[in-house]
Amino acid sequence: MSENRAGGTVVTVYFEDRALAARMRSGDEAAFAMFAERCIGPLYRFASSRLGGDPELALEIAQTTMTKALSNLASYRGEAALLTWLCSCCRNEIRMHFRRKQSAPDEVELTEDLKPSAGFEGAATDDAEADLLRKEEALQVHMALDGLPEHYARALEWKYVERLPVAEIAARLGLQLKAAESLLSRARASFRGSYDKTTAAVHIAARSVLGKVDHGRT
Amino acid sequence: MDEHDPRFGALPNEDENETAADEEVLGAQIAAAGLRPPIPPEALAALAATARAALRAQGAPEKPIENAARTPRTSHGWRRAAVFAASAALLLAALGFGWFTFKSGPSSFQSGSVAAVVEQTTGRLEMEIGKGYWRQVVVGERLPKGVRLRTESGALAALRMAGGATVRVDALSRVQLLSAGALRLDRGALYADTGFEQPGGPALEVRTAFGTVRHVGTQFEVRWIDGGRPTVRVRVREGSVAVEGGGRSYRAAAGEEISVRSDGEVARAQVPGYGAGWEWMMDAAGGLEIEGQTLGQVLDRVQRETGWRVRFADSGVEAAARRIVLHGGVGALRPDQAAFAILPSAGFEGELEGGVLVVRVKTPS
Repeated sequence: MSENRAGGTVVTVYFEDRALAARMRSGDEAAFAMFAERCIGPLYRFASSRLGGDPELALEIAQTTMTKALSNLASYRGEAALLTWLCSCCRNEIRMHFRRKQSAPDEVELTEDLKPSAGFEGAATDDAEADLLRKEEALQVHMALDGLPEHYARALEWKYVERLPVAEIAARLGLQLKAAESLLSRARASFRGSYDKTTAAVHIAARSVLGKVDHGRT
Repeated sequence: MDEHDPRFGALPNEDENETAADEEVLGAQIAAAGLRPPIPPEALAALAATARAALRAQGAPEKPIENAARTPRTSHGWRRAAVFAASAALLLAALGFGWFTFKSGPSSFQSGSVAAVVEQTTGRLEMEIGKGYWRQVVVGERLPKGVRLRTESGALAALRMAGGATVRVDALSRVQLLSAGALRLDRGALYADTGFEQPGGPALEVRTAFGTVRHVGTQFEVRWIDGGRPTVRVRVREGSVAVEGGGRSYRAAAGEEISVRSDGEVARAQVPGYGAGWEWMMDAAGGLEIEGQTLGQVLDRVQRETGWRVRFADSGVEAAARRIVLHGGVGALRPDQAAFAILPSAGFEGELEGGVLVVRVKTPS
């Protein structure tokens, strides 16, 4: 990424994603595979999370998003990460879907200063906004994991969710202990990069969430 | 200029600066989120297929998605459009021979699970993605075995089966792709041209409620006719077919139609291999591609698509037609329309008499 200061405005360009988009447009199969690994799972999960987990509707909206977005890939300038761009398009598709049905679920506005904190898990509260933040954070983590090579994502889940010892993870992956530790380290590094992207993707859409959020009704 | 941004790269290397505290925070984040709800693998596969199709459509300007909205020209409008298209687009050269290709799109069947590729759509072609859920299919999309398709009113589609056969789907049809060589027709109509099937590959068969249609190198239409007594009607344009059902087999040859009713009654009739009854499948095919083809090759294709027989006035005319290479395009003109647009531009004229297109050198006016 490069940052250019012009008149005090910081212009951010996602060069790698822009290059990836250009390679995809030229028919580069490796670029498509990279795109598929990084974006397809997270996009589906994003759509699903905003549509109450309805799998058919999530797929329909995600496919419509994919078709429209990639048909206009030439217009992608790298001003946001590809995933952010896709999720933004998806949010619009969801909005149009509910507008067509004239049955939009509750909208929830998140203010800019409502940032999820790392210690959220210990702060269980009935407060709807806190609940929303917790869900958004979980979504963000899951999307970040979806954007990793699957063995990285599974290894992280085994270690931190299922709390398996590294020796067990090594056995599951068919690796020596040292190699498993190394893989986990690489997986964490990849997760941080992926998580940064999902942060933008989720938050750009969270400003106008069209998910099924029941204010105190659950 | 395009410097790498490590925050957004694949980051394959270990982070040597990671502290125990960093790991603890990250671990707590992942733990709090819990295990990911699984994503259905078929959803991921469908999304990947959609992405590929969208990219392919974008990367092939000559067959963009917008073609799906193309509507057939009326008989009044097309002649003027034909003259314009032909005059503007045709350049003739009496050199070399190209390889004729109909507007076929990518016919890549890399996966054994693919039954067909969508070559052309007019209006909305949809596939079922879940019980009662349908989504639009785009040109270039590869369709898996087992998928159910439907067309809405006024919509048409052209498919290339993995076995090589061309299948056109009429409006208001319901079709299931059973395999690379088998379809099931539950409503509407389809037209099959098996002339391009791969040697040794599966021979196309069309299954219906009242029997299975098998072919012997042919072009045929199968139509489901609703009514008091639902009927499956098979019209044969070339070759012959066998309709097998209820332990019986009925054969029909070129120029025949056979109708099998729900009560088992069978009726036969004669039917011309050209004319209005076949026009829908030409509309479904989209425009005729002529770039780099000889006039003779284009006329061969016109013959196959229209059901006409092309007859040259003499051997000299035929030899000339087979030397002339065409360049340019005829837009969305159907093969029958394109023929009359191309011939004058190439110095010939055509006259249609009873399904025979007579081609002769243009008379000076």
